[in-house]
Amino acid sequence: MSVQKNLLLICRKAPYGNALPREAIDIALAASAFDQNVSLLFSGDGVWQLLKQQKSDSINSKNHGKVLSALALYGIENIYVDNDSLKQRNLSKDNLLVDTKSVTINEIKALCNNCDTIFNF
Amino acid sequence: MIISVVILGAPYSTQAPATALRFAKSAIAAGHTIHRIFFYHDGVNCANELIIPAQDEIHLPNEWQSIAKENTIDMVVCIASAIKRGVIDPTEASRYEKPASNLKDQFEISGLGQLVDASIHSDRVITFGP
Amino acid sequence: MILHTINKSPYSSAIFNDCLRLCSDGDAILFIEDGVYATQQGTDSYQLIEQHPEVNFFALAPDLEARGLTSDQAKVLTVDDNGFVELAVKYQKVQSWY
Repeated sequence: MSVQKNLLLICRKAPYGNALPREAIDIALAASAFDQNVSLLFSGDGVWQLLKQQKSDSINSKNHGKVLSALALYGIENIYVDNDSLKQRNLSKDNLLVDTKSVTINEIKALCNNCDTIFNF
Repeated sequence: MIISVVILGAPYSTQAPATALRFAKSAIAAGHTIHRIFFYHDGVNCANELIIPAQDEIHLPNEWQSIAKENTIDMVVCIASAIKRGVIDPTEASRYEKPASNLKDQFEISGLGQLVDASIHSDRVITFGP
Repeated sequence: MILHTINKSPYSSAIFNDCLRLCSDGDAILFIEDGVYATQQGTDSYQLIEQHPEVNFFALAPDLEARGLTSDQAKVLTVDDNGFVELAVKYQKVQSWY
């Protein structure tokens, strides 16, 4: 797989209630392992995935925060968060466990337009 | 044009596999090449040989099987999604000491690398969500 | 330019709004499956369609018919399955909302 493409994964769903957020991160890790240029955007309810202090033992689920911490190990650095989605939920970057770049709607449109493939999860 | 399709919805619970099937048939009829169908999330249930639809309902696993056979389309079922939903091939059945396997012919169990590979080698990747 | 597909009713999901927000001028939205309920005149979602002339709107005819709906063809053009493929080819990327 010598060809390198720009993949954008848009994570729009909250963790734990559905397996899709986990499975989106798995795609990001796989794409990175195959040397693809991966960007992640957390938008809408997806921003809840980034909250600090998740303790999921009591619901018998794997800790999503720990899943996200694998992104750094795989060298995925292009992690964006939708600024409007944070504001709507009364969140700020201080609440987030991953180092993210907060982006405006115009910057999000540019991300969408400049990548090769978009996976919406 | 080379097109790959990702199916996330379960058959008989969501419309996704049926919509994707119509899309794939139309794409082939228009002269496009379907490079790969990637079954992920609940979509992996499409590969379950044990599915028995009602007699007046479309048999989605059979439909996928025949379209893949007739057009030599690669149909890949994500291993992580599949085994936790009880869709396993003989190799996995022996690895996990299960009494039977149920992966339908024409489907192949493999990893997410096949999805990444599909996105590299296709002009379009289209997802059918749950 | 991007083809967005929407497969949920606007009465049960916010994805129509979320999708419109991300649309650039010249993008298209194709309503499929339960997404086609957004195309009916005299509703809030139809107003949203009218307010976004910069976006091209389509609905999948088999899904409309199955649900007993029609489209006015004014703001929302219907396409059959072949038309769906043509749209996926015409636009550079497909983004699925569900």
